Order: sequence, then C-alpha cells, then structure tokens
Amino acid sequence: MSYCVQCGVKLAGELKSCPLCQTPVYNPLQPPSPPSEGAYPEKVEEAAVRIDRGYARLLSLVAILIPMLVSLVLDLIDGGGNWSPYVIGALVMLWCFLAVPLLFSLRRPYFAVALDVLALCGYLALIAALNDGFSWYLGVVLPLLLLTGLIVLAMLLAWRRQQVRKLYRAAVLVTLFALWLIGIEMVLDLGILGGLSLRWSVYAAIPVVVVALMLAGVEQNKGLKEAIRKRLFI
Amino acid sequence: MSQKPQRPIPEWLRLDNAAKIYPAARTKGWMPLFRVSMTLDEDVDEALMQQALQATLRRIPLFSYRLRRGLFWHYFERQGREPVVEPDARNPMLPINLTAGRGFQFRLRVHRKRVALEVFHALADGSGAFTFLGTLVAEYLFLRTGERTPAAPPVLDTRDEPRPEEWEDSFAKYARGATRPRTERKAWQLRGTPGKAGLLRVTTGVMDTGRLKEAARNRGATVNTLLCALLLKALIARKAQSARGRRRPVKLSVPVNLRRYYPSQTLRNFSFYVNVPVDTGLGGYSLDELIALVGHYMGLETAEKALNARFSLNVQAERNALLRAAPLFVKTLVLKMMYRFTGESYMTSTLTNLGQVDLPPRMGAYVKQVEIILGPAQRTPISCAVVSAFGRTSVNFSRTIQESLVERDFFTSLVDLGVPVFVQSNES
Repeated sequence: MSYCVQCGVKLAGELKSCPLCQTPVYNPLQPPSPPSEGAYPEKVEEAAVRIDRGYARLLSLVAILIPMLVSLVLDLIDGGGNWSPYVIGALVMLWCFLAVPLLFSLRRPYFAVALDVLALCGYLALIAALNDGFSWYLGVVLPLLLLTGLIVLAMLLAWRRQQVRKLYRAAVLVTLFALWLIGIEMVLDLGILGGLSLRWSVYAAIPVVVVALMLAGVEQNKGLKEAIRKRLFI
Repeated sequence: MSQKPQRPIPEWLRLDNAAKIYPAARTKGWMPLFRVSMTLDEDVDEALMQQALQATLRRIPLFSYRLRRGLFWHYFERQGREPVVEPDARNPMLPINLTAGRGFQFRLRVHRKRVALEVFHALADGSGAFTFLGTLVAEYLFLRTGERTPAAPPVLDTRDEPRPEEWEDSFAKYARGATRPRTERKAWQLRGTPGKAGLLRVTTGVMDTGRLKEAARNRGATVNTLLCALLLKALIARKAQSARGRRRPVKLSVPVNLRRYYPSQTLRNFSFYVNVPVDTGLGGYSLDELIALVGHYMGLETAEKALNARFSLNVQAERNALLRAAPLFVKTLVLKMMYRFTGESYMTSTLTNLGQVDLPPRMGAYVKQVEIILGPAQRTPISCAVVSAFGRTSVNFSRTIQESLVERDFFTSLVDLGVPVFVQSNES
C-alpha cells in the first residue's frame, strides 16, 4: 500500500492513481494489486431503459379507441350515424399530432410534419364529404394546406443546416415566408376568383424580402455584425 | 426468547409520513437510495447468505413489502416471495425496478468479503437498514460458525416474532399541534462536469475513531461537528471559485435520528434534518468559526421542540382533508414540485452521520468494516455519509460529477489535523 504524495492519504492496494487528486501511484517496491482484489468488482452495471415506447403506443391507441367506440355506439343508438365521424376523425388527427412525435423515436421532424398536414387534409376532407362541399375543399383548402406543409418542411430543412451561418438560415426562412404569402394569394385568386392577379401579397412580400436581404447582408459584413453585437449584447 | 405475535403482520401498510414524498419524487432515471454494508473477515458464502436472508425476512417482514399504487396514496403490500442475493457491481445504486421482477424495495449484493444492502428510502432509514443488515450478518455468522450472537439493538434475534412497533409510523405517533414553517433561503448549488450517467463515484476514507475523537476534542468539538465543519469548509472553497449564486448561502443538510428523542422502535423512516447555513457573503470562515457555527446552530435546531414542530407540520399537511381527497396523480405532481422547489434546493450537500453503530462485541471478530453510502441526489452532486463501528470510522463520499476537489479538501484537512486516512474508491 502506498501513500499519495500530494494528499498524504494511504491508498488501497488496487488504486493506480489517487482518487482525490489523480496523481499516479508509483511504488517500485509495491506494484498495485490486481483489480479483482479491489473493494469493488470490475463489472459495471448498465442502467435499465425505463421507457417502454411500444407499450405506450399501444396504450395511446387503446386510449383513443375507447372514446371512438363509445361515440360510434351512441351515435348509432341515436339512429343517425351523423356526428360520430367528426369525433372519430378528430381523435385520429389528435393522435397523429400528439402521439406520433412523442411515442415514436423520430430522428428528424419531416415525417411528423408531413403526417400532421396529411391528417389535417384528411379530417377536412371528411368534413367536406359529409357536407357535400368538395368544391371549397379541392379549390382552396387542400392547396392551402399543401402549400403551408411544403413551406414548413422547406423551413425545417433550411433551419436544420447547422453548417450554414444562422443569419443566412434566417434569411432563407424569411424568404420562404414571403413565398408563402404569394402562394396564398395565388391559391385564393385561382380558387375563388378564377384568375390570377397578384396584389396584396406582393406588397407584403417586398418588405419581408428586404428583411431577408438585410439579414444576409449583416452576415456578409463581419464589421457590421460585430458592431451590432457590441451595442446590443445582453 | 420466543414471544407470541401481539398482532398479525398486516397485509398492507400506509407509507410513513417521510416516505410519502419518495415514490412521488423519483423520476425515470433516479430514485432516492442509500446503501449500508459490512465487510467480513472472509469471502461471503452466497448460499448461506441466501438462507440468512430468508430467516431475517421472517423476523423483519417490513422488508418484504412492495410498493403499490392506490387510488389516493401509494401503499406497501406484503408478498411471500423471496429476494435473491445479487453480485455487486462497480457502480452501486442504480435505480431499483419496483414493478418488474420480484418488486422488492431493496437489493442485497455480495462482493468478496462485503455484503451490501441497497434500500429505497421509502422503506426505511439508515437506522432501520442497519438493524436489518446487522440481524442478517449475525444470522449469517450463526450459520457459518454455529455460534449465535446474543441479540442486542440493533441486532434482533431471528427466533423472535416480529413486533408491530417495528413498522409503526412514528411521525404520526409523536407529532403534536405546534408547527413551524418550512420556508428557508435557497442554497448555493455546487456544479461540475457531469460524470457518465449511472456511474456513481464513491470515495471512502477509513480512519481510527479514537484519533478522530482526539482531533475533535483538540478543537473543542464533537466528531459530528468537526466533520460538518470540514465539509462546509471544502464546499465554501468551491463556492469561492464559482461565479454563480454568490448571494446564496452554503447549506449542509444534516439528518437527525429522532429515535434519540422518542422511545420509538420503528424500522421505518424516523429521522429529520437540519440545514446548517453559512452566509459566505459576510466574509471568510476559519475552521474554528465553522465549528462554533455548526455547534450552536445544531444545538438550537436539534432541540426536541424545534424538530417536533417541523415534522408536525408535515404530519398536519398529510392529514389535510383536501390533500387526502386528491387522486394519487395529483398528489404525485404536488409532491414532485415540493421536492424540487423545497427539498434539494435548500441544501448544497448532505452529511449523514449514523454515529457509533453498537454491534454486539462478538461480531467485532468477524466484521472488519461498516459503511454507509448515500445514493445520488437529484440535484446536489455530492453527498457524504459517516458511520463508526469497532473503533473505525468510514466516511463515504458519493458524487455524480467528475471533480473530486471537495473530498480532497475534506480528507487532506483531516490528515492535517493528525488523523491518518485510508482511501478506497470505485474509480479505476
């Protein structure tokens, strides 16, 4: 057994360095005893993973199936079968919104976002079908939802490029927002008025694009960026 | 020796007042655990230990109970199954899975000469755990040598019948009407580089109890006061190098065994704590100043009336009709928040000193070392636990951060005071 030259404590025979100061033990007359003779075994136990996602997924399915069945049965007893599709559709949509990102180990968010858009499209299609309203759905709602979904996916894709500088990424996001505004007017014009005449969206998009250019410009100009940082730091 | 049972062993038990917070406070990767162990003179025979465990569980059935969820409260349910002695690991005190397997709230682990009992704090405190371990080791030595250790607290005779006093909720029994508020100043929190998850670093310093007492006497202190002052000194030194929380005091949580004040024989939780604050904003402290501060503060706060008023508040809260009527998941949320905002945030570290464990002298020939280790806390990264037996004191630090500066300051200060320290560790 050796003493630590730094701490002055006597060390257990198996220690190769002092556990208090990490100074190596060097004692030519008494080499360290094998770890198997130490105070603790060599085997390191792994912490059990406590989250059973498979079980939670099953539980979440059961949790939405029960109200689905109850509402279906009640609706049928009422004699119509009129309102239960709304409840069932809403529950399915809710499950897609909440359970998928929480209970599936998704490494990237694209699938969850795409599924959310599809779930919303599906639920609104159900409402349209139940109300004989496919004209408003196909002409306006579906293109609007798909456009919004695509823009959100593009924004996520751009923002997750960690290697690109933050302000450039922010500029891309702002530009995509401008495109979304223009896209909305296009869809509304074509779906409702029947012809394309871009007006308000262009006025809204111009300052947004200017902001995007400013962001890119600031990122480009290191001196300016530093001057802003110097004056605005918190 | 054998007595008739005064009352049958209950099929289920309510959790005691202190235990109620622990099932709620635990998270998916953490639960409040501690470990008591004894190192014998030769390698432990696992088969004999298994037999001894059976006999001990018959005598102390409290340890057979498992934790269940009721609609309004958690409760303990008796079970007839038997736990299995497990091999020890380098990283002690990973959370116990209370639902899978046999569902026991403790683990008995063996490595070479050492037998270690890891206990979920909801079941018992250090005193109860030492009674279980002492009885177990006495039974094991009886099976090994054929000679029975005469029963004397904390060792129980396995031929006796269990007594209801051993599983009573002493908090409820001794609580009175007068209360004191529990609000305190939040403590400065020690931070460091997080170690590998699930790898609790344990550093044990073993020293001669006589030398330690002498060092304490030279400073006009008790052993407990000296150790608290040394740990506070080490923590204050760390705070001096930290930029965060400068206004917050360094606070050391010191558990107090309430069996010293009341004639309780419970093996369940019956301890409370005193958080000793040191306002570092007022200037530096010498060791003598810290000794005086700890001694006076503990003297004031460990008065029976002061302690009773504090635990009586918890008992009254538990009896509150509104809280009792709330479903378990609501209570769990409330207790979790309470533990988070008032429990560990009021302390920088813990020093639990079980003091002298009076094992029967006959066991001294076989038991070479006695230890207690606190499991990782949820937020405070370092804890210290002390126990003395057969003339040796072991001080165990357990930490979740990589830096060992607190232990280093602590043990080198002891060496400076003329107490030789022998250090063991689970770090390779």
